[in-house]
Amino acid sequence: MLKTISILVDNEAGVLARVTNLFSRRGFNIDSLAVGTTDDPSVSRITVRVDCDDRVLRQIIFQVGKLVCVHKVKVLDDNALVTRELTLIKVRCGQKERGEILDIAGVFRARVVDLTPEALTVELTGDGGKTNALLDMLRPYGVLEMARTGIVALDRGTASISDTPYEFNADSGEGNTAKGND
Amino acid sequence: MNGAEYIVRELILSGTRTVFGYPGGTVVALYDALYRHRREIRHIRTAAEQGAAFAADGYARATGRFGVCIATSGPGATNLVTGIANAFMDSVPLICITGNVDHHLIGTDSFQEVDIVGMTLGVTKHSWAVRSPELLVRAMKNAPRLADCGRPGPVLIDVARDVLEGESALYDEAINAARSGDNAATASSDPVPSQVEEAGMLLNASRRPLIICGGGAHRSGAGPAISKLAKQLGAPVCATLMGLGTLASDDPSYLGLVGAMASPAALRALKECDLILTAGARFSNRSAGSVDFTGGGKKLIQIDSDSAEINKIVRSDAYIEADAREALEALSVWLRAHEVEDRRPWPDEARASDGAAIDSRPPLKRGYIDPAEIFGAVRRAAGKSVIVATDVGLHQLYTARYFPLEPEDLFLTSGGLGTMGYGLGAALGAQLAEPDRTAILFTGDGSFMMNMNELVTAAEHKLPVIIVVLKNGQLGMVHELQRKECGRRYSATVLRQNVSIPKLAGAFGLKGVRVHSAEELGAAVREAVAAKTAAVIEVRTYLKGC
Ligand SMILES: Cc1ncc(C[n+]2csc(CCOP(=O)(O)OP(=O)(O)O)c2C)c(N)n1
Repeated sequence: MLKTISILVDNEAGVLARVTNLFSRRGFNIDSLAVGTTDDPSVSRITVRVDCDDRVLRQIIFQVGKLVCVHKVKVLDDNALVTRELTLIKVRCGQKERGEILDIAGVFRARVVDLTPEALTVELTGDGGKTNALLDMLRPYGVLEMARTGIVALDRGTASISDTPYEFNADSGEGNTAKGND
Repeated sequence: MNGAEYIVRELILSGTRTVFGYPGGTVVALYDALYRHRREIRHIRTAAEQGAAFAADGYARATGRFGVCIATSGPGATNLVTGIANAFMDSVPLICITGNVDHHLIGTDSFQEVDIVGMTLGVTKHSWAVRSPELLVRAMKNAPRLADCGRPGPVLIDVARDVLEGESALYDEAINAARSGDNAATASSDPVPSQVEEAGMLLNASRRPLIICGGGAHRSGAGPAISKLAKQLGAPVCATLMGLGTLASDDPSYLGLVGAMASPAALRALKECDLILTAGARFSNRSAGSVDFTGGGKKLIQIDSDSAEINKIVRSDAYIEADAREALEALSVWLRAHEVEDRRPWPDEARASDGAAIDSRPPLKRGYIDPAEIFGAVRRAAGKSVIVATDVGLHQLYTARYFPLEPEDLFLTSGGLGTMGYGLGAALGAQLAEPDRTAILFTGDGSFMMNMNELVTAAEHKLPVIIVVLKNGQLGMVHELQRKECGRRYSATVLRQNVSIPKLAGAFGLKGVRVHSAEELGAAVREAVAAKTAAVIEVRTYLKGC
């Protein structure tokens, strides 16, 4: 089952390595990964998608939670979240195909962000399904290269990762109960 | 003051009196500071950094607080790695301080540069790549708490040489703050009543409960609490390798070891029980591999202070996330409050009857001592409250099973990583922490050769460690695997070495003897204990696999 997990971490050198090292060391398989800063510049948010069962999910939460650089971990509710992923696809496109490709892009609401006599690059925002469908449509023309950001996600409504009960206090060691840095 | 001076002063302020390590180019400033403060803090230079890490580990297990080891950049740092991994697996608090090259050289593959932080990511609780005074202060302030708190473990502070050597006013501020500051201990969280209740109800419904104590129970001093609960429930108690010594070996509830070398009584109880209560045991495949914890409708209750251990390997029916001692005490109280009467103990048959019986051993050649007699002879000769260390192999399992450990003893063994060569360094470290206790190392002829270089440390500091080398001419444990799984093709496990252990000891200036009977062994141990000198005792024996 695919699960979306949000992790708030110190925005510091080496932090991503610690988190991903833990995933690989414990054999948790990452399906998608995205990292960026938050409204608080000292904090970054990592969004990971993992295909796992409940037991592994629990392990991920507690093992990740033990890392000192991790403030919060939350499994987002599949039924109440928004997810987005940005994809850039560069497709071979001469004058002849341009009309068709633009039509396809239009159907998927993909925006054209670059155009040359031989190639065209579109930007698509959405979830994985839509991206794959567009990719299927563009493949026959020759996809030159593509890049995806990985999924980012937030809870719907006012719910937020700040509401999660476990506070893992970074580096200060404070508030380290049995749940925290042990 | 410079970074090096600051580190040493912080260590002294935190109550550290002994550190272990090995000098080198990037840490000269640190060694200079240690020299300046040599009257306040003792530095023990071991024969190699791995020995320093093991010694710091033994020291930590003896004191219950973090041990410190220091190494230079590059090979010094990499030599620590096995020791760090060992401490991580056995939840031993260490602060490892490594020098690194000047910060502007980092990343350029400069001389003796390694990414020790990267290499140890998976075996440390946390680490700091210190490239500035700010970060050095943060690391030094937090390292002791992080190493010691919750589930203990190693932390690493990797400091660029120019930070060690550079001055900063931040250090003076930090030291002044430390002098006046509070070093508040972190409180562990109380057992949650609803979790206690759920576990209590399961215990109440059980007819044949069994308690297994692990390293977490031992560390939290849960012995009396377990003893009491066992009495209330009529439950027998077993221990994992790391839990040995939690209960007295003659406690009426105690059935002995589970896992490799399990006692027959423990195996029987595991089969017949209808509920297992584990306290601070992490179900590693070594100790739990062959146990079916939930088969046949068995219930499982797990107590662990590390929430990540709950349901990690086996799904439990109830759990308490808390310190083992507190959780067990809370369970006792719950059972009383719910007027659960003391139960008749099960199983009915005589319990720990498996004492010294080792089945079907080969007939012994002259001069070979029966392993069953070895441990009894040493126990009687060594007295009470001893430090017992082991290396890794059959001799380790034999020690665990046949040396009657008591709660006042200190047992040092590499449980999680199974590190050959651990024992001597660990015994030396523990001996330095507890100079008045008798320290005994049981080692194999393979393990001893791995790190016998540390004999030089014992000699230099006159540490009266008694080393019993169980010489079977084999890497016994692997030899045994090959007997079972490789059609007796003994590849690289027969030791055709003609090393005279007494002469070897003599070369280090230590007393060495070869004994031929249990009586001679007992006499040699008694003599060393009385004289408070080190002794290396060669014992020829057979050890059979399990
Ligand atoms: C550092 C290290 N290398 C290899 C091993 C694998 N190993 C486990 S037990 C063992 C044999 C140990 O031989 P010895 O110390 O003579 O003890 P014995 O089993 O004969 O009692 C070996 C090689 C290990 N545990 N640690």
